[in-house]
Amino acid sequence: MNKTVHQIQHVEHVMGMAISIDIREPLPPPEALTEVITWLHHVDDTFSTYQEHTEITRFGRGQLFVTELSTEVQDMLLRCVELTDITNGSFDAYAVPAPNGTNLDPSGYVKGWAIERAATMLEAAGARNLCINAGGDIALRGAPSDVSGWRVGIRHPASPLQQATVVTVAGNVGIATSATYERGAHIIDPHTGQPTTDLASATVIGPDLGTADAYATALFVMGVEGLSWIEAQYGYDAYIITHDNTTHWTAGFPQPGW
Amino acid sequence: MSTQPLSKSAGDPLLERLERLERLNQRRDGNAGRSPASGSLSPPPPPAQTRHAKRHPARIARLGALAISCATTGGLTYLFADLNASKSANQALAALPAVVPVGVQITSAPPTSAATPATTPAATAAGVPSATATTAAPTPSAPAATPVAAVQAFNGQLVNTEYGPVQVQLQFTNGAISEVAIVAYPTGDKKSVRINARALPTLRSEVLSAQSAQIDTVSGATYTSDAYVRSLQSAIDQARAAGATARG
Repeated sequence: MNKTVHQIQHVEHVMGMAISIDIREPLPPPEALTEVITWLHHVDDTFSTYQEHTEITRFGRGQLFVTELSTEVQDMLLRCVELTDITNGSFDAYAVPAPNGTNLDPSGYVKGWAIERAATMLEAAGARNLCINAGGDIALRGAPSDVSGWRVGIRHPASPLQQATVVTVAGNVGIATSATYERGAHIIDPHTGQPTTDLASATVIGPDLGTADAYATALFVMGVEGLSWIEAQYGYDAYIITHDNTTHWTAGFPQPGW
Repeated sequence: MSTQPLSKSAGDPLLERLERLERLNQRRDGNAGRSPASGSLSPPPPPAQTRHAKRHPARIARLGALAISCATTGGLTYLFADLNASKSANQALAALPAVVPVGVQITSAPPTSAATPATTPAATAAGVPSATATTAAPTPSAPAATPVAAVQAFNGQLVNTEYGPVQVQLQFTNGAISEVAIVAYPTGDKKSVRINARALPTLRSEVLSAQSAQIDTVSGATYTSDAYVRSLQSAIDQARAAGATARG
């Protein structure tokens, strides 16, 4: 029962990861995709903590004053401070060691923020139904044609090919997962300066992927107790997996369904 | 925001912004010399009563099924591998599904007839190129009188593992993953063959269990471009780019 489905499928390797863009009808003009790809590379050239010439690296090194930064970078750094306040310090872009040797690493927000913006750009160009997956963090709009929503697997910590659960979601939704199974114990608890490994994974879902990304990092630091904190964040819900494979979730997290 | 202390400039948005920006400088400079461990100002929140702490429905059943399949294939193979490494490894590999010519639609009735591996490793190993494809899935033209399952095969990217190159082929029957075959696997020393014999059947059962969920995308911890080629998202992308719809 194949249906005629037109879609744009693109995988861009940028920001050190693979970004999968899946657009269903109605499709935007081809220039829209080009613009988004240009945007992603611009983000890499501006915010990367792996490169020497970026504004973020130079600011972190003390080579630039904050007033010398572009408005875009200033806004992002100000938002990071807000998120540090909201998360009671569990997300802190200024307290984690960055690959460039500085203590400034806003990547936990920048990635989600950039992908959220990319989804909005495609929407402005006429796309209604799309899914962007940036190395495991997902921005969604609408739904695939003639089904109720995007079916999103939450990866099982033990295997890249196995799902812990699958949820169906539609509309403007961001989903971000923090865990150490891909890149080792790299998530630092800003309160202690030590790597945090209490949880196997923490997934946050909400209307803005940048915020969800930072919240997922914060929740991973907070541990199981962080669920009550997420409950208090309007519009955001979470699903966590502990090392004994027990799962916990907030009341508003989508029911599993496939 | 309005709760900031030392707000000399309340009411002037530009000055307020400058003040907030200045704090960014201070924050950076304040952190530059401090050891990360000295920053603990607030104790962690008291442990709250965990709500909704229960095992996810359906998870146990699925894990159980997976465990059984892994235990069966892996365990038996491992047992044999210990007795006679190379012989049992070959047996295990022979038990894997046959590779079929890429992109060719065949009927599923005689799968063994296509067993001659016409492998065309179209993928490059490292330095994965970006690829775009605008696809229009073919409309079923003139369906046969009796519905015959059509099998379409796509080779995945060649992945360099620590044991050597591995390439997986996904076979779709009516748009759903029906089989996973191994196009290329390391043929080095006996040890690596033994590892393959154990690992590959497990890989297959995991892909199939994932496909049963018919997912569009996967959320997980950030993976690198290198790890992407081993991810389920990669398989989903390749299937879509090749025109196979994940949902029949």
